[in-house]
Amino acid sequence: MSQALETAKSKTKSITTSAVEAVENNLPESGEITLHIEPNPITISNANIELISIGDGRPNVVQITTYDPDASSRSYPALLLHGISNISTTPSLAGEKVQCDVYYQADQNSPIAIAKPGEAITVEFQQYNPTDNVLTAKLGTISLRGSDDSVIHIDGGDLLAVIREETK
Amino acid sequence: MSNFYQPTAAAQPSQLQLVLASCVALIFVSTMNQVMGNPTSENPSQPLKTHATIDGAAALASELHKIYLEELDVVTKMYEKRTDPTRFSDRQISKSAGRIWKARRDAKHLELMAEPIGADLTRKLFLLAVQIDQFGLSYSRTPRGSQMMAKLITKLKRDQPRFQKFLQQAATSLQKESDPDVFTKQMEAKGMEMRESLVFFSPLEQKKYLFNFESLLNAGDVRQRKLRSTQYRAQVNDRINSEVAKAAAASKEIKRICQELEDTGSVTLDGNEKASGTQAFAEICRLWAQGSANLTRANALHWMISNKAANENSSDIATLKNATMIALPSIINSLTKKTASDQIPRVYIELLRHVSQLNRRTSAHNQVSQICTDPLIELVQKNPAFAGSVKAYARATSEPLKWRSRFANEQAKSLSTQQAAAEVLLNSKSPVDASNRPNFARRPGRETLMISKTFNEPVDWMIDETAKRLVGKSIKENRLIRLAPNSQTGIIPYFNGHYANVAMSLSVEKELADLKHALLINEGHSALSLAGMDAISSAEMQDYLSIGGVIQRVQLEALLTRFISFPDPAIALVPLGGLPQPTSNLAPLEQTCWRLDIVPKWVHHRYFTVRSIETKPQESTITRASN
Repeated sequence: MSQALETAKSKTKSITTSAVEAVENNLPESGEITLHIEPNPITISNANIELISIGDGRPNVVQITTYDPDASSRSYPALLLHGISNISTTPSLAGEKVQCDVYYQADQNSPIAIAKPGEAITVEFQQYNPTDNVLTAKLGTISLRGSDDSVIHIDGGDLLAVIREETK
Repeated sequence: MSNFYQPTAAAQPSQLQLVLASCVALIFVSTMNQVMGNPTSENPSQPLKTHATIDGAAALASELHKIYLEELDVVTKMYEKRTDPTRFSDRQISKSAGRIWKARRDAKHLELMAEPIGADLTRKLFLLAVQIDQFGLSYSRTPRGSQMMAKLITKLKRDQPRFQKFLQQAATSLQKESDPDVFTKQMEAKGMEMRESLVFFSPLEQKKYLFNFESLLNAGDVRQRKLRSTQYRAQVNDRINSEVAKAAAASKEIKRICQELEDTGSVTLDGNEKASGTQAFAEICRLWAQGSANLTRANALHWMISNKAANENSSDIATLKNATMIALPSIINSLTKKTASDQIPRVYIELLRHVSQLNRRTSAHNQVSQICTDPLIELVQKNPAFAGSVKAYARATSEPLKWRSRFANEQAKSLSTQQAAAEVLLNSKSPVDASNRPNFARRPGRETLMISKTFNEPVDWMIDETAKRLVGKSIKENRLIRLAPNSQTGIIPYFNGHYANVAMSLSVEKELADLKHALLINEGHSALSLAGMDAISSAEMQDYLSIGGVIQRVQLEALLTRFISFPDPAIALVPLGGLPQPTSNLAPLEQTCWRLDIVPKWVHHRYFTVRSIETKPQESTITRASN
């Protein structure tokens, strides 16, 4: 009796899982970023990249966010990577390295951490996937200073960022 | 006393005397400048500065302060001998009694001139007079004193007919309303002479020898006070009118600049100089500050006349502000019409800088930036490509600014826990420590406020007390405004009885470079958003949201003097659009204005914090778990 119940449960779980997978396969990619922070890596299931061209001779701005900058409230963990590049389109960033300022907050009540003045994380862009309109990248290492004077060390990470419409 | 009303020939100065007097006057003025500071924690015996609105006030204050110091020395030395009055010098008691009597009258004259030092000297000289009177009575009871008293009584009786004749002539003079200055001078000379003798008598006995001297003197004083009040009020009104007229001229000039720019596309400044629209904008900012300084002085002069804690020039300050608030967008609109498209970026950036700086120096939060935002948007839209750049720039920089602002706020919140907020510290209480006071005044004291809002004791006691409590204490203050880009001093504006000078000793070079990098600013490229420009201009200027530091020095000033003797560059003390607010239930003449000199330990800029070396976190910081 109990074995039959377990089998039934198992079947139900399997059906549910495949249903979720099916839905997820049809959803647009939302991006993801993993930060290797001791003791447990953090994965944030949302990542967007935007290349902002100011158009007055300044380099373009690479802005990677795990939250919607236009929303009134922020989702957590929240991360902003902010750097400059002379590359003119986002897909062309593949193969490029960009030095980025880092801004990170694990949750609303935790300290805010940012890169020390003059220090930046290296974002090494890997591949552009035109089907999903995403870019992948490897992150370098950096020590961030917390607003409470703590230190957060990021020992690399992986990025899958959805390309937002370019701003000109 | 036959010459009661005529100056004697001997009183006429010779040429040589005049030359000598001039030399003495020069030395006196230079000495006076050295002496007349304000009492500080380092030099508590310095007298209060005069505002010197009434002619002769500064010289009189300096002279009286000198007399006070000399007599204080006499009294403290004599007080040491109080257990053995036979060791007192009767000549010294006589001399001091006469001098202090006259000095107390002169201090009252200073009060009539609305000089806060007048009330302070009155308070101090009264304390000395009480001691001298006691010394006189004590001496009179000694064997030598009794002999002296017998001689004095004989002399006073012998002089009575002459004295009564003097009093008759004085009464006639008063009736005829003759020259009050001559009357007062001669009455005071006689009064000093009488005081020199009567100091050894009890108050009741004194009356027997004075006849109607005091009532005549009082009547003369009432008459002279009335005349002087009228004369002084006229002097003050002249100054008020002059200050208000200058502020009105600033308002008028602001309107003229706007009109001329709108009509011709350029503007004439300083007579013949043709200036651009952005220079006109800067000139309007300057005129607002200058007119506000004029009105701040006029307002303080009104306190002087009314001695009421009301701001009489509030409507004038509002009129000037309104003129400016109309002018600023109007100038931008004129520029929008007249500026060639390719010049828009340059003009826009120059305007942004002016707007951001002015915005931080006004009393109303962001009012200047709010009224200028729409006109600035219209200006940039005249150059569509540039308008696109401005929009993109705002998007590219707003996120780092938000993060940095929150980061700096969090840090400042944590740093603030090391210091008491100014309001809390200054309103706390502590028991009086009278150990540094003159020997005759070392009474154990009650608990008093850390800083007193009024002059309720001699200023040197007050500064000593407050300095002992505050120097070396940590304090947190809000809103620091740098006096000028290269100034070594920043100002915490006047609020609730105090202001502060802050040494600009913390370097922001690294933070400024980092902020510029985040805001994409380099030699060829400026900030294109108001937020970005405000971030950079405030960092370059070192205007801060708050600071924490250690009080290094305290200075006690009079509220009235601070804002009557108010140099134009000090306008940072009073944010534009407002006026300093005295404590409402206290007479302005009696109100203090404390200045704290602070050495900062940390500063909170809107987008970063900087700490002194000793406040920086230790290297061995904790590594925080991410969640």
